[in-house]
Amino acid sequence: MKKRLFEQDQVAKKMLVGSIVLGLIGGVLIIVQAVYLARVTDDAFLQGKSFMQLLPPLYILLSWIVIRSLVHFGAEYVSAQMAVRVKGELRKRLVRRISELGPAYVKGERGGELLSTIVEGVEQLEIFVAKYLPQLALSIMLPFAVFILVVKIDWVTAVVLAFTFPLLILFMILIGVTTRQRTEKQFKMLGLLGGHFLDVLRGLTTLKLFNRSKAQLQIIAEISERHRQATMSTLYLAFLSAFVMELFATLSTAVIAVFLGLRLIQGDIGFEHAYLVLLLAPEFYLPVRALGTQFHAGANGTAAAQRIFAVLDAAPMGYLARDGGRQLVSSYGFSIQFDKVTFQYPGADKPVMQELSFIVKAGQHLALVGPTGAGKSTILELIQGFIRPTSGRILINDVDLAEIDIAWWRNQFAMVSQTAHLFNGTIADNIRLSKPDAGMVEVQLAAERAYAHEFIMQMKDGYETVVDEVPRLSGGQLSRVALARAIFKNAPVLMMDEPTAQLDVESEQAIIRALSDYLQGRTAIFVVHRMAMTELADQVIEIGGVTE
Amino acid sequence: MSALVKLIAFVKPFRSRAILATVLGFLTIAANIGLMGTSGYLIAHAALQPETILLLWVPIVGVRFFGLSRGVFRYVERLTSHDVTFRILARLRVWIYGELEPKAVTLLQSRRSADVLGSIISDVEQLQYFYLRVLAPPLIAIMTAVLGFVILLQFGLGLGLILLGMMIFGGTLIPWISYRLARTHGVKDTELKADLYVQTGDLVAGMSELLVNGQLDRTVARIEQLQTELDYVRDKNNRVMAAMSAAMLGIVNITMWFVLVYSVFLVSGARMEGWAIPVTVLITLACFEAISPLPLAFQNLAQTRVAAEHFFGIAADVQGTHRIDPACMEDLKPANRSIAIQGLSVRYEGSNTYALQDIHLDVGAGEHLAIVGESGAGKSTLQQVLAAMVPYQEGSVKLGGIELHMLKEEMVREWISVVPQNPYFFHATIEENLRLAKPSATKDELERAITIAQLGPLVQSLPDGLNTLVGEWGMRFSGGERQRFALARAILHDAPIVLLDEPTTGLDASTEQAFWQAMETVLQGKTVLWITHSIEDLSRMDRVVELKQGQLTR
Repeated sequence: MKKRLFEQDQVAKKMLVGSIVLGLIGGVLIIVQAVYLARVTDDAFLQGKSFMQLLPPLYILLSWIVIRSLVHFGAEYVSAQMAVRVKGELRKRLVRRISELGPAYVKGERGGELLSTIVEGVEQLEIFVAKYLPQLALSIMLPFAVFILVVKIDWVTAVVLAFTFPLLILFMILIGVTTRQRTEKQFKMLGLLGGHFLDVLRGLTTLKLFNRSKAQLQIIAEISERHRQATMSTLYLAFLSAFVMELFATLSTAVIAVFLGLRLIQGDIGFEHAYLVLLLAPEFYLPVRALGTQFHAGANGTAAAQRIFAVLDAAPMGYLARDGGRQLVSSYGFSIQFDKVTFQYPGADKPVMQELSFIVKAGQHLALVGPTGAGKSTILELIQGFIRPTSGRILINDVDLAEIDIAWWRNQFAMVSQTAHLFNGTIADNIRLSKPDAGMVEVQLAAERAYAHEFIMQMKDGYETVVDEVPRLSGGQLSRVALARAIFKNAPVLMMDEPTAQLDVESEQAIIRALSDYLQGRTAIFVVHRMAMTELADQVIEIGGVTE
Repeated sequence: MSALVKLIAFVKPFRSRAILATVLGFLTIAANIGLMGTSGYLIAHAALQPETILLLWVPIVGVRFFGLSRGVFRYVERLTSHDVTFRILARLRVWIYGELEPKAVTLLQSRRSADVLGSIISDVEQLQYFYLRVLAPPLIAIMTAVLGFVILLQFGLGLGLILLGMMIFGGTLIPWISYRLARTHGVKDTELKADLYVQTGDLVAGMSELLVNGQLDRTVARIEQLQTELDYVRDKNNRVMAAMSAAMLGIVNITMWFVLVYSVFLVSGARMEGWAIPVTVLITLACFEAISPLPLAFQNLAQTRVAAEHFFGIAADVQGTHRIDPACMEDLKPANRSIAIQGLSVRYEGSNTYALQDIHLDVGAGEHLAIVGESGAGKSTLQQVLAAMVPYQEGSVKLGGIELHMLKEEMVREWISVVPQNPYFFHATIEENLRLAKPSATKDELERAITIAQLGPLVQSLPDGLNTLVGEWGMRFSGGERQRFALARAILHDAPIVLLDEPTTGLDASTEQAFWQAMETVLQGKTVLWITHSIEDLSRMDRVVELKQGQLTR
């Protein structure tokens, strides 16, 4: 998984090596600094050298300090930049990937998850990449460097270090493993409790309608209290590993100090060396402890990376623009034919539709009726190429959709979906989505045909009203903007998924009148719920039920 | 600044715990100072090879004591300070909920409500750490600086002043500079990330439209462009942050160097004993442990201030909805199930047109009235006025002969059931969502409501039946299904007056037939206001009125 974060990016790989090398140099400089500090102290304390004699080594010590700071700058900068790079590239890859995975992949509940993976999930890699990964290498290398030096000057301390280091790691793993399962389970529950507050805020109106909103005050207080207690019982455990590591490190330092003192009295070791060992002992444990504190970031990062790679590894369900294909030439429009089309979602136990066949000739209009969930919307998704038939063929002017350039085909039709999305921007921008540089005349013409002009003009800034700054459009207004968007596109094929479901009778009639004119010479397929729309159809097919 | 003062009020109730946590935090660092100081003392004195080991007994005990106590202090401190944090969190939540509860409708009406709620959540997230990340670090740093000064003072005034001066310098200047340098980056970073969020949200939610209209590549390119800009800003920020981190490291060691130089100077002039050198140097290094978290605390202070201003701003900004007339002293009750509206006009804040204008409407007790009209004609507003969710400026609305203003909100809602167009469902089970309307409902009552709302087959098809989780926003179910669950909720609520907004959306013809038959008994004797645009429904109503641009026409 770690390797995958760096695949396809040689620069980031080099940065990782760079940050580790710089970290290692920084570690060596800590040792060098300690060596000089111990020597100067020894010279002043026991050798009785004068202040002037000691000035040159003091200046050398100062220069080591400066160099160490510079190296520290380099290490910090490189590792932070590495994280920026890895995160940036991953987010771009994610965005490109989901744009290929298509609407069938992103729809529904998964959409929200994807959004949070792309935005927050990627950010969660920050500490993982910038701190945890370099630390992983350094937590082995730095103690090793300190150990080598200590072996040379004082084997007793070396034995203490050699004995405690594996013990420290063993404890870390032991505590980590025993508490992890429990803490994970509890953190999950904590997430649920935390989510409750947002849920209550969003549902305030509903709570009010049933006179339950005041009672929630008490419930929020209670849940927060439960939240606190649950978190605290998790933290008792979670902090335990840090506690043990801290205890281990400080106790070892204390033991080493006492050992050193006893042997100094007996003259088994000189002051300079004893002092040096005392200075370096905490540095021996520090990198592993630093890794321990980032253990959580490591676990978080791993989880985030798994979600990210799951998206990158997913298989597209529809046709891809990059596959290319044929572009058809037709002066009289397009016919659309289903030839024994069966569709089943992967993992579903029964197909949405089985061996469905029909044909809409160029310029003809087909209405699809039938109960909810019968697969009417799926038919439209298939024609749009968002999903591929499990078996059977979809033919456009007798050519299999699989052989057609899907980007070209999508340019040949306009679509009014049941739940149209309003994009961030002005109302006009939302209507001229298919041609962002179009003029206002075209926009207004389309809006008038879709019976949207009147209510748009009543808005704050008319067509220039920014969608985000006004109260939500009503369902009927939204569907009329979506219709205007489709009419604006002026494509030879029009598909609509319950375009008038949210409209009142009068608007519906007006739109039907406008459409009957607009649909002349165009191929149209629409899913309808109310019968009024079937006036426009040459052909009505009932899906998933008995034909009337 | 006043926002921060207000925040302190949220910490006050937990004053003693907060003080305890701060003291423990200080003791953790003090233990390290003690450990390093006594170890330095120990080996320096041992190097002088005293006659007997007994002279070293005290420092040996000291070393062991400090070595043990540091870990314990830290552990207890972390628990205490996090406990304080969660207590603050609970208070923040309860407080903001109490502030928003009366203003719910205005708050949730705008399209931006999701953003507002999201920002409240993230504000709370930030503010809960006010003690832990903003208040505690400087307090601990000050206590540590005093301790370090007092100890080094024993060896010479100069040493104490060097340490104190450098701690103040490193603890204020570096955090301040790094904050100033990073601030513009922070603002830009937040903007870009918000932009990125919006664009990515558009990409995910509007993907099919983008694909069909040939705009997908453009949106992807725009997101990539934003990411590139974000990377650029972060590059500059990283440089500042790395420089500051290096400066902090430099200052710690340079302070140590100054102390060393001055100690050596004192020793060579015989004004201090040689053993003190390792002691002063090690104590100096240990003291800076309290300084290193300050740059982060400074950043958090800035973020907390922004969040606090925003948080208290929202609470103050949002307008209330239903006001009880001050003259209403006792609990009035509607006398019957009739509704009388006279000259009612409603205008939303910031809008220059009336949502409802000069409405006159009498609905007799038990009458079934259909209201038709275009979307945006004011049907929903009328419904919300009746449910005491939206205030009215002009005219009179009487419920059972009593002016709506005179009735308590709770009383109005006991009398009125609403099935809104976009009902909300909590991320809980179906049963919990239904019981909202009547917590004491029996299993039979629940089943009856579900059957009438034509949800029987759906609920039976679910493996967990009524215990099925509805998902966030009730996303597990389609729009029509959600509306019928809302209807089931209203049936359970069983109020004498029922306001319905298009409950038959998404029903096929035969189910709709069954639905109407079942509803007949439910609505028997109740006063009903039925918002609809379906012509089929009208024949079942006693009377039909039409709303057009906020006015009654028929």
